[in-house]
Amino acid sequence: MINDLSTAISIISIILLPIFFIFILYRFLIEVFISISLSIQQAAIITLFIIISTFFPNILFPLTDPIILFNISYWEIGIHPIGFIMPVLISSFLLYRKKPSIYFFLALIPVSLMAYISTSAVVNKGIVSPFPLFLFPSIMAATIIVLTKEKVGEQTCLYAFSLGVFGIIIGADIGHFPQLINNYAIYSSIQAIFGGASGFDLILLSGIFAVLFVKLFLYLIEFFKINHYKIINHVNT
Amino acid sequence: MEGMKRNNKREKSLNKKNTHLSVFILLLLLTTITNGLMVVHMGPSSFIDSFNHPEKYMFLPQDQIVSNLNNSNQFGIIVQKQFPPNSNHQDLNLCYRINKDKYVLYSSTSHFNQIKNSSQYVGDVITVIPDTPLSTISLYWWQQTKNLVQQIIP
Repeated sequence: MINDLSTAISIISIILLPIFFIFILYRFLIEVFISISLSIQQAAIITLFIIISTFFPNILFPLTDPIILFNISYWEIGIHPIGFIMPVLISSFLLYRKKPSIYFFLALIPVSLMAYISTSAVVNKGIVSPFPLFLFPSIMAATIIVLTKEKVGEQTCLYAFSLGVFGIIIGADIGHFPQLINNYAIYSSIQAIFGGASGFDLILLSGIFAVLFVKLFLYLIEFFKINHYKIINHVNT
Repeated sequence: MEGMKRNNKREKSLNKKNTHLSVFILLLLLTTITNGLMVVHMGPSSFIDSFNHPEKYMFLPQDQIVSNLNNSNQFGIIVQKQFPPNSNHQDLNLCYRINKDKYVLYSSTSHFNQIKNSSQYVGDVITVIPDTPLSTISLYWWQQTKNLVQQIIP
């Protein structure tokens, strides 16, 4: 009887433990997607799709297989549905609705430069960036958005997400692409997939981190403003 | 006007809670069904043991399993993981035991069978779980859950 009970408890724990982990990740990601102006239902579907295709890719294949676009010599160049197409589509669609100002395109320049500087090309791994360098493009994007908050208006999170996504694509992937293709001698077919790390790719992660840093910076600014006023009021009284 | 704003906020909050609850229930159903299939497939004690000793369990597609097997347990095949003498334990040969003295050596790369004497090799017993059309999703969910549990509880 005790053995049966402990077996049942073990099985229930094994079933529930990953669910709690996945649910916490889901709540975290859905708040990011809601803050970039997606509806709750859209955010839920996208979040679940990203989580299941990242942690359980075989369940959703071949939807999550990379799409090969063209060949250069032995290189097969492609794009990944989760790591590239999804963040680009989300950013483009939402930006198109909000009609971004010229400042967004100007802000892409420093973010792309930071992405280029903080990444490097490795032939068997692709474009890589160690910790904490991979946070720098997101921090740059968040800083620019916070400093130009008056121009950006209410769309701070959306602009931060889009800057993170397109900054990495332009600065890291496209910027290091010639170096990857030309400077390494290879003698058999090899793939170069934009967004190839699926949910863990820097294209998607940069956008998510940029939103988090924007929220953090804005919270800190409000916090220090409130405390500053409290001190001033205290001094005056 | 203020009342309308409050109502809108309340509706949005209810919408959010309903969505989160639906997602939680969906995930719970998914994992219960997939892990339930594995419990039925493997038996409860083997299922739990596969998380306590993950190195002793291996998922192998059907086309890599020899059909003329003499040993099988309730859900799969008992396989001896053998290491050749003087190896650095990196080589994996799958062997099916015929009796306590002899076994069939099967190589998954070259697909050959060879009868060997048990005294020539030493190794661990692992359990191979073959895939079946109905349980493929369960098998992949089980594999990934095992990896996730190993990372969360090292």
